[in-house]
Amino acid sequence: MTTMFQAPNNPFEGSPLSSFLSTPPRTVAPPEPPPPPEPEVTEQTAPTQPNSLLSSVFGANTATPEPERLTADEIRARAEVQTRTYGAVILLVNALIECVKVSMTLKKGEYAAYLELKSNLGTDGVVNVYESDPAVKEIWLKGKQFDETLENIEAEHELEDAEAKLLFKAIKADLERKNRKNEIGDDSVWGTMFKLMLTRQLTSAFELITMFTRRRAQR
Amino acid sequence: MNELRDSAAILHVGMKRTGKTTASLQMMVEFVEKQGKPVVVLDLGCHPSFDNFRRISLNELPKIHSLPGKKYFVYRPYESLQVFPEILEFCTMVSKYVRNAVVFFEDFTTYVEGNFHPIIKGIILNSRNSCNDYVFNVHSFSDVGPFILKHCEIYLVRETIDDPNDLPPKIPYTIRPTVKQALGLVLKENQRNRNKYAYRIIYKEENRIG
Repeated sequence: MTTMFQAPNNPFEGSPLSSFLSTPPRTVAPPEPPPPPEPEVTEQTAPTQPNSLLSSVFGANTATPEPERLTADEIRARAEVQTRTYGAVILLVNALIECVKVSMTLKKGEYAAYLELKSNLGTDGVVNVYESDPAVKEIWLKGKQFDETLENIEAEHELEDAEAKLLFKAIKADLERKNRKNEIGDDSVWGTMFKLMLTRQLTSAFELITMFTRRRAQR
Repeated sequence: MNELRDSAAILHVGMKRTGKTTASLQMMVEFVEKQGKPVVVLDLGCHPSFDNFRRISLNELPKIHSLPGKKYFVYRPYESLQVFPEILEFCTMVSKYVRNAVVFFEDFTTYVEGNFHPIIKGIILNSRNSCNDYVFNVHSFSDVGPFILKHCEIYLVRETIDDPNDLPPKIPYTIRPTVKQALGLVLKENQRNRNKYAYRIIYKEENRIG
């Protein structure tokens, strides 16, 4: 703001230096003004991983994340989560393969015939009545083997409740730690969601596979 | 007459209510209007007389001649706890980039006493080369250091607490009788006029009262 300066109402006539200032002053050429300040070079810091869920759609974050510094407990917990998750996935794939293999041993309609025989046996209470007919016997044996194999798969791959809970707890702890250290990115979110879902639904997934195999065989 | 005036360092000595500030304002008008020199006041006390001066920043000092409006500027340090570094920075900027201007150091002894910093010594010694006039407003001879008493070309003397018969020994020996005489004249005139507005000018190089 430029305000017009008004001369004071001076009680004196002129200033004390009036005679001194009556002579014009000697002047010199002004010096070069200072150069404009150079912009400060600041070290580029790597951006943190984006938390937007859309980045998983438009492309993953390519920025190099800072190296993690984990405690021994954290490393152990993380390894446990990884091992258990991969283990669960392998079991699931195994169960699927076994189911496909066993379903291939039956021809179309054989399992339905077996189920009919089974229901009749249940009501009649007679066991050896069909043994004289080799064709019926074959269907009976095939169906029985199919059933037993599926039951074995169910028994073998069933995840115990305690084990599922342990895995769930470990995944949750890992997620909380990442969140606390602000390391969480889209990959972590989706990965953890998948792990949690897998843990929660592992038993259901096995049941689903065997149920689907049975239904398919009945057609 | 084509003679040109050399710049000078002026010591303006006077106790309170002797018309120092009023005379300073009048001098500023003459510096701007007659001499064509912009005026900058270094004012720590936020004196109301300079409130309607344009406030200038350190970065603006090098372009003081091209700033728009009237050429009355005041510099007031922003950080009250960083006053001394800011004053030194102000003096450095004046010394480096300001020419053909006038700087008033209002209440100079408030922020400078004892041995002067080399930067302040530098601007006093280089006043002629830089064609800058400097006016140091102080309350008494005993307040200021010997360096400024030695190197100011003009003393503007008003009534002070100094005893004319017992002047501080730091006043240069050659000029002491003249200072004593000027102070005596000022006191006499003030007694006669029943006020404190009398003054005398001592041109130190010529050792005479103007």
